[in-house]
Amino acid sequence: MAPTPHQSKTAKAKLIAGGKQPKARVARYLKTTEPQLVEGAKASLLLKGIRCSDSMATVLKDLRSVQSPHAKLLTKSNMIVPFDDAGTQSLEFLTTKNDASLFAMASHNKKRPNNLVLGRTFDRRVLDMAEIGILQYRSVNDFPGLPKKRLGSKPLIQFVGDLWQSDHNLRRLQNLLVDFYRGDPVDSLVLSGLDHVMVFTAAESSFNGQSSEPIIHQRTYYMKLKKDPKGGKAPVPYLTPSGPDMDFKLRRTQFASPDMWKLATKQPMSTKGKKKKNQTTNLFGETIGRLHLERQNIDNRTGKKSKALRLAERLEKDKEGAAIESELGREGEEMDSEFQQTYGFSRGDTSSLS
Amino acid sequence: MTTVQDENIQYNTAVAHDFGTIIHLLSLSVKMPFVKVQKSKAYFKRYQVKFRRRREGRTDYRQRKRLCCQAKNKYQSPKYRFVVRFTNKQVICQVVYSLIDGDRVLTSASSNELPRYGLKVGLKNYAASYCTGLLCARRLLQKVGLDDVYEGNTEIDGNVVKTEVGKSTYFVDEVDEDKRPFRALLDVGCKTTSTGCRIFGALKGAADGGLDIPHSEKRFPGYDRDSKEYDADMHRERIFGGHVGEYMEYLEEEDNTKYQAQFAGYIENEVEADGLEELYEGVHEKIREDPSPSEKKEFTPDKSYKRKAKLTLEERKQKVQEKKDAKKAELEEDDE
Repeated sequence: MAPTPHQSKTAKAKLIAGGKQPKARVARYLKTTEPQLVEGAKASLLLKGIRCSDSMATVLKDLRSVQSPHAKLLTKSNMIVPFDDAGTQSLEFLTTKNDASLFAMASHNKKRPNNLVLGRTFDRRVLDMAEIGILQYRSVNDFPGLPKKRLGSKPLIQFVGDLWQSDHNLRRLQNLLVDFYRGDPVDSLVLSGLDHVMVFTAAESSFNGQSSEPIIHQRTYYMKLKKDPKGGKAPVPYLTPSGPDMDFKLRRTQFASPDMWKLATKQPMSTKGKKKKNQTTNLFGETIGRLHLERQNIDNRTGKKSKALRLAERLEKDKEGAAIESELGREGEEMDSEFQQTYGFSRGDTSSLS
Repeated sequence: MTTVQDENIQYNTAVAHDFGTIIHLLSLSVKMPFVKVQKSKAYFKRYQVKFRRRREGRTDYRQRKRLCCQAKNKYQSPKYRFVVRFTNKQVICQVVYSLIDGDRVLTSASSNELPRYGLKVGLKNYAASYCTGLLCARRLLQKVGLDDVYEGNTEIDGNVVKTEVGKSTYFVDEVDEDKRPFRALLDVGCKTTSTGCRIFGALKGAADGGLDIPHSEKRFPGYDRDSKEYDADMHRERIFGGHVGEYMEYLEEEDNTKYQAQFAGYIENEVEADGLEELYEGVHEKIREDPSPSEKKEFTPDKSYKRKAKLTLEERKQKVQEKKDAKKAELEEDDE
């Protein structure tokens, strides 16, 4: 039984006035009910409204088993009208007391038959509420002998239909549903841990030619991953219906105000991690990096010379040397011939004479 | 309000809320004690009963939650339990996993099956629970096709077998590269886990059978809590029914009539105290040879039993009449 804000306030006041410290066990428990930097799975509170039919009670029971071990089902009926200040207050009280941040209230009356109010709280206050009217329901027990999901396993959730994007209310409902069924938040999964798929299909409905509220079909399938018979690398899922299945319509809604929503979705800096610059992820999940380069100064650059270049340089030098030498030789010869013409004997002979 | 019949406690009018009750009590001149209302109407109005099996004291839900649900850092992989339970006549070992609409048993073995492997008597003792654990483990590994990869520990010495691969510890003697061992967690239920408890016999049997069950020697027979020392030989002796043999010998010498009564089954099956170790060795060997469950027998009802035909109304009336007549005749006889 977690304390309400009022209770914790008075307890603090007592402590300041010189009261006793709470026992160690109590203090430990209180610490678990405090808001945490990284929260675990959301607990949900399942309760009955003023009147609740048997079939709506089974809906709650199924919700309990799907969400277990994070769900708590209250057995007695409650005098609560959810879309009402007093009702909201008592819902806030009950969710606080049971330390649950999600709630589902089932009721049944003539005006709104088979009514289920799904909601969530933020900071002990009601954030979102969506009322759905169940048109058709198939319980987990209506699929006897078929395999079911494991206790506490996470679903694959699929939303089918354009309405989930286009309709404002449905968009918020989608967010709520994901929160409702997601279970433990985890960083990664193993394939063998995936065992069921939840499919929410939104379809336009028309009655006597007039279009009315869209119908949402919720289907749950048990999923078995098997080796690809074609020899592919990825396993192939085999689906069998396992329940709970339901068709429902959205009735009244009370979604969070923009301010409240902003507060609720705010994340502490420490959980965000350091922002990675120049890195983006594209539509296909590929990470793309952007490089920023300064203009390169190529004027005063001295590069390393390669061996081939050095060889070529040397060959050129040799060639040049040879050319100079041959030039010198030719000049000498010319001088020799001139010498012979003027003196009548060659220069070489003089050396031989002497 | 409850009334306590204690003369010494003075009646306090200030606390009685119901005026009608006061008058009523005064007229009876009963001294009403001071009773503080601990639990108000609001308490009972909101009171929520615990789960059925909690009320019956059969399930520890705190334990169950931790055994059935995967920790969130384990990537949501499936989780299995090795369940050991004792009835008045047998030990049952099962490997179980939990689905939302109930638990499913993957394999089951009970000590009722042990006569098939040559153990006719003593189906609830430490040695029998070891055998049952071994049978369950071998049966499971055969079912999932790991029996060739994980043979388990054939030379029983009572020591804890474990290997470390990377960061993780496996409780098998060797870990295959492709196929990791089958991990299951011991589920003891609501039983007290005292040192040397038979549950740990089943655990040791399963661990020796090649199942990867995390454990330590701290609760095995032979572990001394004070000196923190573990005597593996003592545990080995238990596994082979040494303590049973000892008691047999002791009783035979000291009190033969009690021996005849206590070990009637053993005498009938010609099980001797010094032949026990050999017997258990043989049982272990046979279990390893063929751990598969025996074929299911078709249920055939006992046709010899006939339900009594219902009497018709007239027949019943006649029966009553006969009884009446007999009683009348008896009474008349008395009068005379």
